Amino acid sequence: MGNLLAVSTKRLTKAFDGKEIIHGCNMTVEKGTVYGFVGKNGAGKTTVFKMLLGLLRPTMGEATVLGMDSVRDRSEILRHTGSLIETPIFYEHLSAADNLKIHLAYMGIENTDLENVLTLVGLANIGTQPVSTFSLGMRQRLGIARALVHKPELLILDEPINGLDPVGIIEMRELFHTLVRQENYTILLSSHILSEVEQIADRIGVIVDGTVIQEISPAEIKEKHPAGIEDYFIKVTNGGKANE
Amino acid sequence: MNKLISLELKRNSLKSYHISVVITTVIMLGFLYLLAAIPKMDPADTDAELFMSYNFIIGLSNVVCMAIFSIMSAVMASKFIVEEYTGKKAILLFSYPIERKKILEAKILTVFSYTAFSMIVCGGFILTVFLGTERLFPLCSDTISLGMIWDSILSLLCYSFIAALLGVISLWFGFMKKSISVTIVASCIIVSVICQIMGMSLFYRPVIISTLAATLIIAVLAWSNLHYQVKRMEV
Repeated sequence: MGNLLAVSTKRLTKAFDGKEIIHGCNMTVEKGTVYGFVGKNGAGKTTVFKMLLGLLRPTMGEATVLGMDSVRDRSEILRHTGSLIETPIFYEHLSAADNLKIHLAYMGIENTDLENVLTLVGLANIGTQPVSTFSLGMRQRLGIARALVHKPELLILDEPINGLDPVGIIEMRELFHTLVRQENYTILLSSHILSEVEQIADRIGVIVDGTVIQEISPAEIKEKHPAGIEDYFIKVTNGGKANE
Repeated sequence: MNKLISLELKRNSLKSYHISVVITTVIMLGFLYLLAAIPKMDPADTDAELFMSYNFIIGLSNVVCMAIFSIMSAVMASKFIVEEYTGKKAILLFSYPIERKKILEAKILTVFSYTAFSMIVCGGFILTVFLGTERLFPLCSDTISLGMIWDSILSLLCYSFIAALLGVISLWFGFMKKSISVTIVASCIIVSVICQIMGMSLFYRPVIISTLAATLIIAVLAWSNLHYQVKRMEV
């Protein structure tokens, strides 16, 4: 079972200044699936993502990513993972292609078809204009391109459709589906757009006050909550069921 | 390491620093001629005798140069290092599958090497032009000797490394507070103290060597503490 999991956390806990922001968080993401992570603002989604990527050290518990420990094997995890955390930061004076080239150099990868990746995210023929002139949506697309360009096994995307227009959201949904179905990627993403998560994700994890209280498939939500995912979300986040 | 340094240079443009070095070179050349001309401006002033020695005026010019380059080094360190380890930029930096300490080392080495090398080039150019014109149209009553040239080169090398090491020490202060202004203010304060010591010792060689040794030890301690901080950093 272990090698079928892209991500698993056991009693993951993170405290800042003595206050537990994440506590006893258990979650599992199967390989080759899209896992949607939802929760209110401040519930701890980004903190969990940061711990998976080794940007934060767990206070207690453990996180395993692609079979590796998030603290001990940080570099190896980063090599096989693409991430977009918070608002993506770029080298503003450089072009999109140059930003990707630098990223690849740090990743130790050469000879990647940058144009193809930029086309995939809807930035074809972007030319040499510096990133400082990009709109919010273009920056988000470039952030996703950077997460993809080194061909990782796992994508950890924190609100990847933030700032995208409706067409962009549909394009990204199709891209994520293609990556998972055809190229066997695993995607762990968070979003506040519940209807989108419902369409993209194979499994949804709901985090409330630093704990994943439920992991459920969109089909189960439909079955148990005919009123829809928003109704389910409000009930769960206010009720706080135990982790199932 | 070379690859990491070349990536640093791709990400951060050095153009503005090149311009600063050229401006500094022009100003310092003028300053050196001004120092040599002081005794001629007021021949009655007995204190101006100090300026009749090449060792003194070149030493003074090197100290001023060191002050300028160490502050430039602090500015560069704040841009290359402090800024990149602050806020969301640090997330990008820590997302690369490379040991954190190696990236930090590449950054410090880039700033250190640029400061030392550019000051050696700037000082070397000034010295060559000044001594060249002094051979033809001497302003200073002192004589040019091989020993004096050797002393000047040695002093330039020492001050260049002190300037680069002071950049690392100022960086430590700025990094502690994650503040660009603290880095630059710390640099100004440290460099003022060092300049006073040099001025009081009249550029006595053992004082220069001791200062170089002391700054080296403090910079190595700062470097190792920066390693520790970066290793423990959470973003």
